[in-house]
Amino acid sequence: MTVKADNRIDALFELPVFSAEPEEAREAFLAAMNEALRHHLASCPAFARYAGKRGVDARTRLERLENFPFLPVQAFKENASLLRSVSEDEVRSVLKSSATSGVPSVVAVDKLTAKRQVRALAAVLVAVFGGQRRPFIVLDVDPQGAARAAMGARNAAVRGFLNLAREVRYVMTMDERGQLQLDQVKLREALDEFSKAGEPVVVFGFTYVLYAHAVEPLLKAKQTYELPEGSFVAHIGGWKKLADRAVDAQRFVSDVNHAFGVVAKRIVDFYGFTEQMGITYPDAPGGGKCCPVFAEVIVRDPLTHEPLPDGQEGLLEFLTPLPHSYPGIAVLTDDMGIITGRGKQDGWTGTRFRVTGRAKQAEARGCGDIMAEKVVRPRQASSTATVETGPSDVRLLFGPGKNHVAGDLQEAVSLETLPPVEDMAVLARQLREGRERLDAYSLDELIALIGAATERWGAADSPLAPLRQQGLQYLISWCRADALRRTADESLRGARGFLDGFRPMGGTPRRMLMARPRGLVCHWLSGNVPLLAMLALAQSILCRNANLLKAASRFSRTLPLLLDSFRGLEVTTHAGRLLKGDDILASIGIVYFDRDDRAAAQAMSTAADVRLAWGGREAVDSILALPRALGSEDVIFGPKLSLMVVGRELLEEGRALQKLIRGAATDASVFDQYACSSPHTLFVETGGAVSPVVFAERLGAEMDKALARIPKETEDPAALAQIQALRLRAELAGQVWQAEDGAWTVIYDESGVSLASASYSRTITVKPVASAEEVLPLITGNTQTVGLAMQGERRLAFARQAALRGAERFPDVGRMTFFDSPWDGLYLMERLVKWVPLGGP
Amino acid sequence: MLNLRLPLPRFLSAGEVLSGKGSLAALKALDVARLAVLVSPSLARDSGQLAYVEGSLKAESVEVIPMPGGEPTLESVQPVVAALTAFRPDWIVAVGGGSVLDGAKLAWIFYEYPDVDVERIFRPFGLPSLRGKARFAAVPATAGTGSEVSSSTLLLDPASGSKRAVVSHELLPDIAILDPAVTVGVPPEAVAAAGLDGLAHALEGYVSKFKNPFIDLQAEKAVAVLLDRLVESWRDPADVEARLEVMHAAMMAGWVQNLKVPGVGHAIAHQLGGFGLSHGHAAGAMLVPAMQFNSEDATVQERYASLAQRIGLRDDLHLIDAVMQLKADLGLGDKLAAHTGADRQAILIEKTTIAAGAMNDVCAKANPVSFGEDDVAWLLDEVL
Repeated sequence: MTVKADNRIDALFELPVFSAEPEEAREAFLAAMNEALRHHLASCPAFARYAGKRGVDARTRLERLENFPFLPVQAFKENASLLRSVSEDEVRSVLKSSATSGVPSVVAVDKLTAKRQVRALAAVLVAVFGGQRRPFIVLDVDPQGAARAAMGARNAAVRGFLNLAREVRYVMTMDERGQLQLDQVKLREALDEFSKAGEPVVVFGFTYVLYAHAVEPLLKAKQTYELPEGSFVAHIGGWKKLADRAVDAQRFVSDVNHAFGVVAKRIVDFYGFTEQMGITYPDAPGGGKCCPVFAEVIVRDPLTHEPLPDGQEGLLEFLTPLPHSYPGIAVLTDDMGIITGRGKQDGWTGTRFRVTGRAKQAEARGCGDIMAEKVVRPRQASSTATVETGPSDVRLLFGPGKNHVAGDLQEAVSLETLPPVEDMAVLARQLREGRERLDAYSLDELIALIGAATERWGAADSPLAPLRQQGLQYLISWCRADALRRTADESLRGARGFLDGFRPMGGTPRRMLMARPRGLVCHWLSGNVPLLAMLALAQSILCRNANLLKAASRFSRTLPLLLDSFRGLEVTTHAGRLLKGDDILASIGIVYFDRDDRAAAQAMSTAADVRLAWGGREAVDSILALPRALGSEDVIFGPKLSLMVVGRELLEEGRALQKLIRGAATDASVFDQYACSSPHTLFVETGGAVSPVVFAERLGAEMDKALARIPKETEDPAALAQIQALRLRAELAGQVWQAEDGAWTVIYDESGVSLASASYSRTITVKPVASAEEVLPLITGNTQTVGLAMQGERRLAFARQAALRGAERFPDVGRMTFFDSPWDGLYLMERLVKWVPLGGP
Repeated sequence: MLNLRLPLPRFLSAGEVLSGKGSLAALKALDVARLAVLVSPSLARDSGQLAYVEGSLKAESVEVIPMPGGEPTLESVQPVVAALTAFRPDWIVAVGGGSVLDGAKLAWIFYEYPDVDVERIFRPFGLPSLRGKARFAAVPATAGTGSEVSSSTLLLDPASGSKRAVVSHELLPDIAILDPAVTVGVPPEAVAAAGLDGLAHALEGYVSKFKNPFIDLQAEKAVAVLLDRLVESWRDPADVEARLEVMHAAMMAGWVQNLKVPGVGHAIAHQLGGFGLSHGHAAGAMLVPAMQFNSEDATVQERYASLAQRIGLRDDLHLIDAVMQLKADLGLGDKLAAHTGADRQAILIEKTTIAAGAMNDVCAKANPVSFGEDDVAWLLDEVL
């Protein structure tokens, strides 16, 4: 077949969608891709700049698909305005993804792109369902109603599929809170009607909605249907939520078959994504998803982005020349998959692939959470919820007084070898009894013991040595006697002596005050910074509380090892008193149980006088939702975001600036940026002697030096892959400085005043701002630390404004991650005691 | 208090100073729950004085803790620290002479920091913040040491026989009370020695390298009052007016000591603690030779001449004569051993060690002229 040279893209529609001759299809596709490439190079400056950096310009004709410059899918989340290949007035609509991962993707669609999307989708659907129009039962709301605005790209996806519908029945409604509800009556009416009529139908919906709202309820109600021969069940939208419920594809197909009587080969999963809307990849008869003639797939190594041979798992990149209004012709998704076949099989010729899952996002760890997770409203805590009594498996890692996970820090722990905790209440009682030993100690004597333990932590032969670069040195300096006394004085109304007995308050002996322990403090630890827990534990010990800690992982040897230093520890004071570290250990227990072990979580929660939680939104919410003792206190650290602001008055050449930049590099490097106080965005004012872009460049140099001061932990491949994608995306909007091995990345981004998403692993985005005040609207109750480099009245005024908006601390740049009091707006020790007055009022 | 390291003229004192007969009763207004009263051994034995002190205090719980006798050492204050730790006071009131006040400050440090590294507290301004557990009031029973307004405490190192200083503005008492009634039972020789120590603070500090014109005014007043009233105060414990005036002058001299720092005489006196000499006696004995030694420098001589004229004396030589006359009036001669029982022979043998210690002493840095081992030998010869 010959195609017109000036329209090779649309000519692809003239080829059979899934049965074109492979060689002919390949040539036609390559030609169309080159034509699309030329168009976008000529029409989209950001894309041209991006391609140019990869040696591709208007004169280039690419012979291999893997050489087409590809954009990571995240590029469409933050750079939508840059990714446009037509003028604004040509944009007919804007597609937004459903934003399951936080920030929605945004693509501008012009008339030509929209037309191609419709053609492409129709071509695939005809190939799958046959040319005849059929009735559709749609598991979604009617987009003609008020729900339209809330549907976003889902609406576009659904509408595309319905072009082939003879008749459409929507069987869901949306309540006032925007929640989907299945209209059981409508569904059953439609199923009954079409079953009786004997006309093949298509039941269509999003995979999870279809299963959870239709198939499962029908099976539970023992109500099944035999849809007419030739009917299809078509579903789109991904498996993540079903996977969370342990429903795999096999069970899905089996249950759908059972519910609707549709054979497995007619239960079709369509794969696709917003950034290449209209291109959909159905299950091929021989298995796997199949590329239509106007699309192709490449699998790339997640770290190097090099193409991988067929059969190897990697990131899926999809190519299609169809997008005209935006340069999404080669998109690297964050879906993982493998190519399972090429050439003709069961009559289909497109490349076949399987999606194996989503590339693990750099985990939104601990308190350094991503914004998207914060918009979820925490569930209401309940003191009346029914207590779960289901099976529970709680294991003791430490205590009272014994380390059950002693050994090499790096070695895995076998859960089965750990002593079970049969009854959490019994353990809690033991710890409370152990706590009474602390009453014989003055606060300063407890400080002396912890101070002496820090000497053991820092000893040259300490088994904790591997943790020196992971915050051990910092923990040691934080737990030194002077530092603890300062913290105690500051936290307890200026005088730590309140913990040792009644002292006058308000300058008169008429009224006295004492701080007493609350009792049992239960800590839920997060895994992001293994030593973090000790910061809170030390303060709780000083308040003479008993402590029960839930480890983030059963592999948590770190904290038990720290506590081991108290065993046999003896300190003689200047008063001649002998202090014993074992007296501290008698009141500390560390347990592990699975995050889904609700019975254990409830038992711990109800035993607590203080519930102290570190962690991400989900973890914190689930803890807050647990039943708790009346009058207990909650202390929540995280999830929060942090940033940095540099005023122009400090951007003068000289040593002070160099020190400032070094400090910024330190803040972005400590704890490999996983702390909630680690900055991810650095706003630099324009108008100083040194411009923001020069600041960014020098920051890169300092990030490199910081590697020597603060060696980096080995990063997991998923995080590195995400950083690679981030760098690619960043090139669209600005400049990137980076370590060759991914150890650090500095992005200079002029795309506007917004917070860069938290990528962790020493990835910092520098953004220029005309005035620091422009940053204020970004500061909310979710903002924890603002590293502030400003001077004078501006500094005071900015900090006041930002504090009123919700920011909680404004340390100097270079000291953002120093844990100090107050933290997250509170003095921890103050929350771990109860205040008892004597006399007056 | 400003955290300054610059040697700028400044005035620092106890947080609040009260004076007058019966002023001790002001402590009834303390916002205190548990009050520890650290008293000198002599006061602890004097039931009348003790009753006066106890009757002047009010707290939910009061505990009197006797201090050890003699110059405080790390070991000697340990029972006091133990008693404080057991009692858990939120105020400490120290009543006694300079050694008692200094020893009480030391016990206060160890009460607040039971595990503090001892070497660290001797580093200049190395002491961490106090008052997380207790505040401190100083009630001097002798007039002259200035400990009630000083930022330091001196303790004896028994091994070397020299004194070591802990210096930190944290040690400035929250309250100082100058109540002459507390001084009634103090033996006359202690009154004389303390008074001469105060005079040495004022006279040596007046010519210190550290400039502080405001404190110079205090020094002038202190010298004038001590020369004029110390003998009366020494002679008649019942002369409350003289005692009070001397107490005021001694406190002013304490300010001079604290903010200008005395010189070579004190540097040597600090080394003589191990030879059976009280600090007051040693400092008093070294005062005249030190003035003479420093007056060989014309600037120093002019300063002393100027001071003399301001207090109604003709010149620096008359000033020195007046000091010598005062000592004679107090029954103290020019020579150390004659009236103190100091081990003259031992001092002669240890001259080199004493010189080395004096040259490293904190007061050596303040002396207006530099001095060496031979100078120390000459100065010692003058008093031996």
